[in-house]
Amino acid sequence: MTKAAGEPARSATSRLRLPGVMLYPMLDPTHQPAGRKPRVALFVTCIVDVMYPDVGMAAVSLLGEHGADVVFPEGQTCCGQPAFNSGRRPDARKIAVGFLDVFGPLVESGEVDAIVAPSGSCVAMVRHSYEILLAEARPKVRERAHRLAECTYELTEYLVDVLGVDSTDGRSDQRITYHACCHLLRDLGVDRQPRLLLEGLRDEEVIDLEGADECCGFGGMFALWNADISTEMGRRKARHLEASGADVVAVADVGCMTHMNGILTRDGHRCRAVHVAELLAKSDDSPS
Amino acid sequence: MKVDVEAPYRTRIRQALEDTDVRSAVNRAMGQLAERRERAVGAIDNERMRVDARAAREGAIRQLPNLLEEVERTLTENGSVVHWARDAGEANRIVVEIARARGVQSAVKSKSMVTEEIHLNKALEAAGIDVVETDLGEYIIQLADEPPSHLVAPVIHKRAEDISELFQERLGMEPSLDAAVMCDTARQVLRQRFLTADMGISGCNFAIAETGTVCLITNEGNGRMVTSLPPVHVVIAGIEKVVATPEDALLLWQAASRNATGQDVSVYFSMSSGPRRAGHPDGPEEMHVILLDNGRTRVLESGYADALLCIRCGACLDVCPVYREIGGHAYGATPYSGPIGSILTPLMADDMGATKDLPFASSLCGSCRDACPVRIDLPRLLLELRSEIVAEGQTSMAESATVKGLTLPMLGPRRYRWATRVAQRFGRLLGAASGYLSWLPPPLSAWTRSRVFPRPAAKTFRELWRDK
Amino acid sequence: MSTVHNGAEGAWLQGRTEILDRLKAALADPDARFKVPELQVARTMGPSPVTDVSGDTDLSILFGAMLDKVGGSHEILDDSEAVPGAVIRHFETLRNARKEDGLSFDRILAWAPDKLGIAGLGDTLRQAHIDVVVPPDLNKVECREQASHIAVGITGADAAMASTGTVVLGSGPGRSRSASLLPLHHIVLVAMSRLHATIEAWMATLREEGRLDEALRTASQLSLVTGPSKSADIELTLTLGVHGPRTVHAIVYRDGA
Repeated sequence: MTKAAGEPARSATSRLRLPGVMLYPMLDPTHQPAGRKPRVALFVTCIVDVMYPDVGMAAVSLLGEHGADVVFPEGQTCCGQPAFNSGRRPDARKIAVGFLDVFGPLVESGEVDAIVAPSGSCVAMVRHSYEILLAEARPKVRERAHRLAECTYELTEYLVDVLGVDSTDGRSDQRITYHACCHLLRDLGVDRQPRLLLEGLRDEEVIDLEGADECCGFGGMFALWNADISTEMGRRKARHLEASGADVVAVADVGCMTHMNGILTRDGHRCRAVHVAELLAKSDDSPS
Repeated sequence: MKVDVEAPYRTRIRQALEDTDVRSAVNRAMGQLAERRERAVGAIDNERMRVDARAAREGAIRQLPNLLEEVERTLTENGSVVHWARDAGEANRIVVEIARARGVQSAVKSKSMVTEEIHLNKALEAAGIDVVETDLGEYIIQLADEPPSHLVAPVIHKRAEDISELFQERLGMEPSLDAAVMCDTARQVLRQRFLTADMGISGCNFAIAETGTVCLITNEGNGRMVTSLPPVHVVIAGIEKVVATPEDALLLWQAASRNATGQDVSVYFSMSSGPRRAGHPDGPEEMHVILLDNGRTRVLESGYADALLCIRCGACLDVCPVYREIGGHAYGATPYSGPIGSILTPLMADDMGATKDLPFASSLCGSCRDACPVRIDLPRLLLELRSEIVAEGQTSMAESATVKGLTLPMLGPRRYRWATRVAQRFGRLLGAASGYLSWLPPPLSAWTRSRVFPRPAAKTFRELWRDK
Repeated sequence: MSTVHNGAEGAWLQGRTEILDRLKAALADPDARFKVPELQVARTMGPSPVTDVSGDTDLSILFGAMLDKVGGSHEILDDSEAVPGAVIRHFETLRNARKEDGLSFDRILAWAPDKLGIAGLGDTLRQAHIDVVVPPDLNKVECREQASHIAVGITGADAAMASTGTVVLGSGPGRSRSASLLPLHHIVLVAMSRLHATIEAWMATLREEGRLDEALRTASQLSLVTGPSKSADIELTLTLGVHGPRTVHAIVYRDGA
């Protein structure tokens, strides 16, 4: 039987999808107080911390290059998403409160203007799921969660919407395409921003990726509970990447990146997934 | 290897993924349906239609008892007999009783998921009544003795070759792969059944409370035949199908048409408001409407009324990256598959334990939520179900252990640092020079079966930051 | 009349009471029954039209275009007196192009001539040796036998909607459902005065004119028909005429009204 025919082709300049955005609070991007440099607290996220520290350093570098001071509160651990998505709300609640305890005072005191994370799914957790998770918590906790939800941003979102960046000093001679991670695209409505920054990386355009907004199959714990389905979804993504001819696919979420590279490597593909931060940060070597 | 819908979850998934023919058919069909849908909703102010459709459906569910009483009154005024069935058993008994009272020997049916839900055909056959499906897709799977695999396109998992073989074998059709020839064969056979059947059985897309009207969406015309030619017409309507006004029904018809098949409207929208009146040349002499609960009240009581908003358009299936890989039968012995099925099937089941895997069979990508014409937040409902299943202790030990292992370290900075050091040490022990791990111990081996895993970095971000 | 209730009366009433009681109890706090309730206030307005038709659109032309798009065909006549001739011409086209055996092309399954709304149509058809069959009671076997082998059916239309190419067919005395359902070919006569811009406009008119009950409830079945019968069940390949008519030809004409 013929291979997956009839799949709709999508252009790289994909439509910005407004997700259930009507249900979710829109952020006011003009949060910085006048008169001083914007200061952000970096929420590096657990996977980046342990597995991809260079992504964290690239994020710091980008923020610094474009006019923001970065503080790194050491008490941070995780946003609680794996626990929440697994249905373990008591655990997720504890972790979320931990996040609020670490970042809350910094925001409330005005010491930082925003929290920035190089991960769409973690930001979506804070912005949308904390409200659900903490619906029964004490008013002070809920207020703090609401306050933080209003000023937590994904990296490219913060760079473009708040710092007004439209291109970085990063350069690449590789053929680049972009995979739109689900939470970033649909929960946060962020798509134009990473694409805009990626366009600046080289003279050639970012390559079209067929099914760019199709889920790669990671889905967090789904990748373990339903590893077989997850893998098939990832292989579909790998086929599209192969067909695109790209050397590198930029992604904004390291979970997706780990899953995609896991399959690309095991199945012998040439293309590799790289985090947008690493591509965009000024660098002497091109990422492999 | 076909999927055995009665087999345990893991077996069904394995069977589904191994059946490359079905996967190919499903994949191609979903791509086309999703594309057609996109074009149809892209041509209008879809966000406004979704808000309107949501208001129509949510308004109806909020007023459900009042609207049910109203539709009972208006249907009765129009000359129909209204019955109430708490569960599948009661509904089937009522249909059989109606059939016996009228000496029914043969029945024709239009496509209805609710009749699959209650296994009506089996009950009728047990009572000696011959039932034939008249929707082409349903007719094909009836011949093949299989359950439907998609809400709207029940035979999407079959290729033309499969259908042709079936028709040659069972209907004596000449060999042909031409869809027109196959359709014509079915038309001839089923035309005879329409004209001679004693009873017509249909589902109900919408039941209009204000006017006592049962609405049916079809493209083939079998809906009109089933509701016009036999002398008795029986409608099985889930109680959630009620809407307040004809305006709501007409709106939801358009929303369903665009989202299900990419048409502006379906070819036929039959609005039946009772049996034939005096002097009418055709139409049933008797019309019965069975209002069916079968777990719907429980869904409402459980706080998942959002799931009752569903208008059965199938859009969530068409855009679901998981459904596209596994097809409908993998969801088990239920007519409701895909994202909405993963919610309704456990909620309506007597024993949620048997269906507990379904809410976890999702990567939570959110495509379904974006597509739903009545704005059901499907991922949210899946997450709620997951937390209930965990709270009831329904998850396996292995699953619990894995998640606990990955989440307990996050509870505080000290545990986190300790867990980090363990991971780094582990990585150094297992890792090759390549920097990748090709093996992880169970249960993490689920990852490395098909993917490499990167080694934890020599220094964490924290350590690099401190070194700066 | 069926005696179903008597046997199961107890259980039936019990079921009704139980279902309604449970629903009423559960909906005492409706917001709490939804994970994500959206509707806080009862709606005061009906839904907006799904399709948009600008004010100066020629509805006949739009109707014809939309019907053609879904596999139907049409012609637009400026004068109702031209209708009988157009019917004969189309009928003969269908007869000359026929491929199947066993269907009669010497008669037409029809609504009663007075319901078709075109003066002299019945006579013109008879003069062209086309027998006009108006079935009196399709529950009688002979009537059904006769009706089921007729190749062409002809009806009027209670209303039509331009933005979708839809016709509204209500059943009633002299207006059989079968005329637009059983034959392979359907001819529908659409008076311009009954042509509305959209589905919503049609329903609004019914309401304004207080004709909702008459149109919907008395008719016992109101069918909204948009083009020929279709199926895409076999590998999503489109096929026409699966159960209902394979061709639908609309003759849109200017009437006096």
